[in-house]
Amino acid sequence: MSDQTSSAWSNPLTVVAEAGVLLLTSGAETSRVEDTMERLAAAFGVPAQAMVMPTALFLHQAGGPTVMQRVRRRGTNLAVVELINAWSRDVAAGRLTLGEFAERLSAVPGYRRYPPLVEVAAAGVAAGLLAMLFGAEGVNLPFALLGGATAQGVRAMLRAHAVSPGVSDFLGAMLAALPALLDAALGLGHGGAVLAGGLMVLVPGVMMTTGVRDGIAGDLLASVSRLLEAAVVAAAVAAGAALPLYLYLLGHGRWPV
Amino acid sequence: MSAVLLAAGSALLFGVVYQCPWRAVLLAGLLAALGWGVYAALAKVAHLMVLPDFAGALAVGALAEVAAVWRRQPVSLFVVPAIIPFVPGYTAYQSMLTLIRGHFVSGLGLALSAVVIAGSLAVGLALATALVRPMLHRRRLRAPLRSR
Repeated sequence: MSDQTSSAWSNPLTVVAEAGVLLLTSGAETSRVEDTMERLAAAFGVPAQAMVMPTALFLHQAGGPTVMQRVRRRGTNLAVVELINAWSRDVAAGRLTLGEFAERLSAVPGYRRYPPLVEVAAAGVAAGLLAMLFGAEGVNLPFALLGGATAQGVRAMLRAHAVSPGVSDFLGAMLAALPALLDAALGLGHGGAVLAGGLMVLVPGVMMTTGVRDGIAGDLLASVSRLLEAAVVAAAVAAGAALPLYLYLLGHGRWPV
Repeated sequence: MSAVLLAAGSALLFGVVYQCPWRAVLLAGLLAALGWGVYAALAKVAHLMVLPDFAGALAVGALAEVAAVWRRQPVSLFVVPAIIPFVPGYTAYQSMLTLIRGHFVSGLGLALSAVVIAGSLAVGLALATALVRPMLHRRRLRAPLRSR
């Protein structure tokens, strides 16, 4: 990373492209990535045109070089989107130099506002609340909590080991369904609400909303591919949860709706 | 009332999962509460399937645009966590369960209703952005030097 930064100092476009990649991999909309990159390039004295897709971005300086960056892995980290947004304002206002900006960017990969354990706990409680919203009662709460925490924990762990999104969501959903099955096996009722609450953690919320926003902004290619990605994730989650549920129904047959 | 609190709480916690700054997290919770209020009120009055979801998403989207201009932060920070409670997760689950049991016709019906609800959320968010953003933008053009 440090090696990339030192070479970046010589070419502002590389720094700008790096900012674009960080935005894109953190869940920013296409128009925001393009807009931010063009503003940054202009502020650094190299007016350029940006073209962003979910899987790659291009930055072309008129009569000058073109930078291309391939993007293979995308995640959700809205803290990074917020940070780069604030910094690019500072750059545009002249409060931040190219060197300082590049240095701050190099610290961004791996940045998180809340540690993984807090994330898992939040996902668990969120699943519990959603399960209650779906009609579950106090008795069912621990099972929904466990389901949500499992979903988030398993998915985060698999993603960290570079397992592809579809597979990690499938396995996350599969394990997240187990507490709900336990709830049903114990005869506590509302197994469905518990199951659905736990699975909500895996809902591709950022992909869906970003896909819609890309569509309105006219970034059709990005919109279609993001919505497709969201559909694939949703299908993987449904399939992952369906497998243990199916086996359970085969064995017991009784399932509280 | 308790549903409003549940929606707000879950939006708040999803804000944490998505790593939003805590002020944005609180605002997202507030937006979810207001949006859910709109949703619940309409669901009580008009027993229509799609309209309450659409109106709730419209409210969330419009308020998120205002919050984004006010806080000078990306809209995603507010709109993504706040829309989560509206996602038709339970309907999708019911559809999956019905399909597993081999009741294909009713399973597909439920799947379609989940898709239609998700679509109405999308239209609500889209319309909110398309309507509110130009209004806020015009005001900002009139007073361009209000930098913080």
